[in-house]
Amino acid sequence: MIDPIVFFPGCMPASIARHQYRAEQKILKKLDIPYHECPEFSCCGGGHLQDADDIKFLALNARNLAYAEQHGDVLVTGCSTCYRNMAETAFRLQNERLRTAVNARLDAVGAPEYQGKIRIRHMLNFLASPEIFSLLEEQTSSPRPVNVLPFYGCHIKRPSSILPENPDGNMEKLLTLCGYLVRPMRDPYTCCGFHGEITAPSVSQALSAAVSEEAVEQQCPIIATVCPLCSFNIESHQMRNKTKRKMPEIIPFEELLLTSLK
Amino acid sequence: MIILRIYRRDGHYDVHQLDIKPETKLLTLFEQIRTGIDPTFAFSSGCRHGICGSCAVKVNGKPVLACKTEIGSFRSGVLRIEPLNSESPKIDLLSDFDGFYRSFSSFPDFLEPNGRPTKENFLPEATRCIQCGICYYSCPSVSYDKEFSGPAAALKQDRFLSDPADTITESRLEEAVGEVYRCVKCYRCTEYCPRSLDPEKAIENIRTRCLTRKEETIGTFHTKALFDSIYHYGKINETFTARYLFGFWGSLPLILSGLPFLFKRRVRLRPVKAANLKEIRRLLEMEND
Repeated sequence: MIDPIVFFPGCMPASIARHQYRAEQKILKKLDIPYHECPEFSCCGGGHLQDADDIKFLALNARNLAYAEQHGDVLVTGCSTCYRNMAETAFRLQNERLRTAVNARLDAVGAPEYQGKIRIRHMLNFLASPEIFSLLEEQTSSPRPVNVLPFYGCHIKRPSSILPENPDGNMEKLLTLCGYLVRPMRDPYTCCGFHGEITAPSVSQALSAAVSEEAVEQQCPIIATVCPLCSFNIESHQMRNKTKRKMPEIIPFEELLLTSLK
Repeated sequence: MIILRIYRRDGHYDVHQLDIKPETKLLTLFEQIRTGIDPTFAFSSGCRHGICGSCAVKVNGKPVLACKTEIGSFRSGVLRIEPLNSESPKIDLLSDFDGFYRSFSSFPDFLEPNGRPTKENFLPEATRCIQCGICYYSCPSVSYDKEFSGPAAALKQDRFLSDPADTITESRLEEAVGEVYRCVKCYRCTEYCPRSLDPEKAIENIRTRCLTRKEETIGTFHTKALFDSIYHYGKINETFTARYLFGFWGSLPLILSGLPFLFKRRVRLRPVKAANLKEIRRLLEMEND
């Protein structure tokens, strides 16, 4: 029996990327991993709250972590930006002075205290960890020999000095288990441009198009993603750039994994 | 045994198979190749101590200072070595740095003091920047948007903006507001900086200052839209932010472009609100010291 986890879905999977949210929930249920999702969870700041106010960004994330601490020791999220923001908060709040200042704010609004004990994990790293991977090995069936391009994006890896885990090879490990033919991507940690979608649209467009183009070049009908923001950005740019060529489908790795589970 | 594939002037790669200790520095290896194998091999170096920033190259796509990098620090036994600005190589590992140097000329990169020394002990981190160009030539925004002055310039702008002795903050901010929102927040600059500086944080600091300007730009407006969405829902609500940014009619095409996602059963129409929303609102309303 696996220890219960706290599941942090993130805003996007809960609102406009429900397919990823449903896949994540189903995988956890199939593997019999008890999870709790706190209704109090707020947005992590979406990568932009720190642009408005750094201390409020820390406070909002510390509040989420504090609620999570009441229900478990491990928080798992399927969104790379949430993962990065929460990991940055946890890293910076190791500083006691800063943590006291943030906790004073949480106390003033009646939120629980953040103790700094919870471990933050990305869904990809969690599912690829040895104990969960052995559960998956027992349950996967029907290999699907289809070419897949594994696209990691940036926030699951960078900045590595503050992130708790290195995701190298995890997607390859999980997708190979499901029988997919995983092609090596030139730079799997390149940016999809989501965070510049409104402010730097041409860069965002070029970056996400480059990912689609590489998949076409490598004859991959599927691009597997680990972050709902990447899937959304690449897919919406594909829809806007009307082309007669058949473009690859963008599928969260959780959905690919789910189709292979018994 | 290590295999090196080194970029040469006519576009081909020289392959060397060498038996070398993993703790050997990349720069030492370059020198050994030049003295022992090929005297025409060109690369630049200076201080050998990570101070001058002249020996930056790309190894398997990752930008590093050759003098500070050990051969054994890479997982792969095959190292593909290329000039830092691989879009515009000159000779072997030397490349064109004009774009990087020009990026500093878009704003006054010196202090405009008021003549009086300040009492504050101001020693900004940014002064440790060695202008090696690593952040600039690994920035995806720079590679697709040549007008973007890039991470190192932002670091320097932030250094002057936060200096209490500077007197031209307003005009600096006016320059900066057109720059910082070109960043796509991929954190490559922070990841690769050989001096462990944080240009991404500098960009965030400047963006925070931009919010104090009266004049709105799409960047400042976007930040405010997300802030207000979190205030109202505790979450980011895509319809709310689109309407906030582009108005009711202006946002319609954007919202309608989401229809295929609706048909794919990916969209929840009723907005989700976080429980205990009052706590979130009070956190966002709090005054800073």
